[in-house]
Amino acid sequence: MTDPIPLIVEPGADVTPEGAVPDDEDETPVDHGEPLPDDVRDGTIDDEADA
Amino acid sequence: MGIPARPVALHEGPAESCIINGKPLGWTNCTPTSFAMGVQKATLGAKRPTGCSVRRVTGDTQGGTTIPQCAHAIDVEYGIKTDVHVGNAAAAPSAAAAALHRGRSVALQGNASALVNTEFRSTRGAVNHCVYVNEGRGWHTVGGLLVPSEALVFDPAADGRRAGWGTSDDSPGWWSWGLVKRFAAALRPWGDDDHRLLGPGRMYSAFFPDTEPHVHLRHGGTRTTPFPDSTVVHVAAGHRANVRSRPDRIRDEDIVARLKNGAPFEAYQRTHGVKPPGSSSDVWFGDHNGTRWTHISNLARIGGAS
Repeated sequence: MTDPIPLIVEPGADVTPEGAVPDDEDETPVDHGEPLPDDVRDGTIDDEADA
Repeated sequence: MGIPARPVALHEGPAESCIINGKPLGWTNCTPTSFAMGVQKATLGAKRPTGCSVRRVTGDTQGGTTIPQCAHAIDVEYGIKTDVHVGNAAAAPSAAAAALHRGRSVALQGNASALVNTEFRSTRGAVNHCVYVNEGRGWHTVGGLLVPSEALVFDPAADGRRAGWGTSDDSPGWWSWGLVKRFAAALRPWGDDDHRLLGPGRMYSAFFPDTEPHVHLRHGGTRTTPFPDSTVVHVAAGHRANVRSRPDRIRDEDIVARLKNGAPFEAYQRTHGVKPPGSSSDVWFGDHNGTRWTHISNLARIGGAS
């Protein structure tokens, strides 16, 4: 049996300030200046005609 | 660790492979077909829908489908719940990698333009597309983030057919993780006729359940309750939660990631480690492999608390 988890713990005792380490570019989202749509439809593959 | 469960590869074409209300929908079924493979994996083969059967449940026969539509369909029909990451809540690539690392598979939207000049080409040209990613291999750390060298991708359009432009790849195939990211970044969120790309940093995706929930206990860890425990990062504004490779000391070289506020942290084990300076607690939470730990003070919703 595990021991109980303390109910009150001071927040964020092991943290790094934002900007202290540069972000990975591949992890940094592009700002499109407007909300991204939730519903993105996949397209229709059209190359069966020339099979 | 053994070979993860893998689905039987499913393909979406030809058009007549899925006729609903008289409409040939095969070549519009990449997302339903990807979700059908996810159902196979999530049920360890007990349920084996086709892409067409998932498509039928969506009730939509106009063009392609969306991730939320297909996620709802497999929940209603097969009881499989996925974590959907779309729009501004699309997943960071590292989050998708972390899901794969802990045994979850991923349905991923992107654009086939990223594949055209590769051995994995499956379409004539650019088109918004969806693939199913089952697992990763070659795990290593880059910039503090755990990533695979390659991912096993099941492309519903990669059926080995001969077309006017050449011969399609025959999936599944091991894509480099870089190609997976380029595919996701090439998505055109506002449709195939809009030139704007999603860009890096986000993946329109759905994460399937872990088929084999288990934990590799390390550093004296014991299983969390619930198992796993879906916690989230909660630290002061302007800070990030340190994730360390071990809970028993505080050294800079042990930091493997720095998570933003609100980022999910799936805890599989907890242990008593070092008390960070100024803290009154020595409790740490660890991941599935026991190689990523964060201090209790960095987390909220522990044990399902709101």
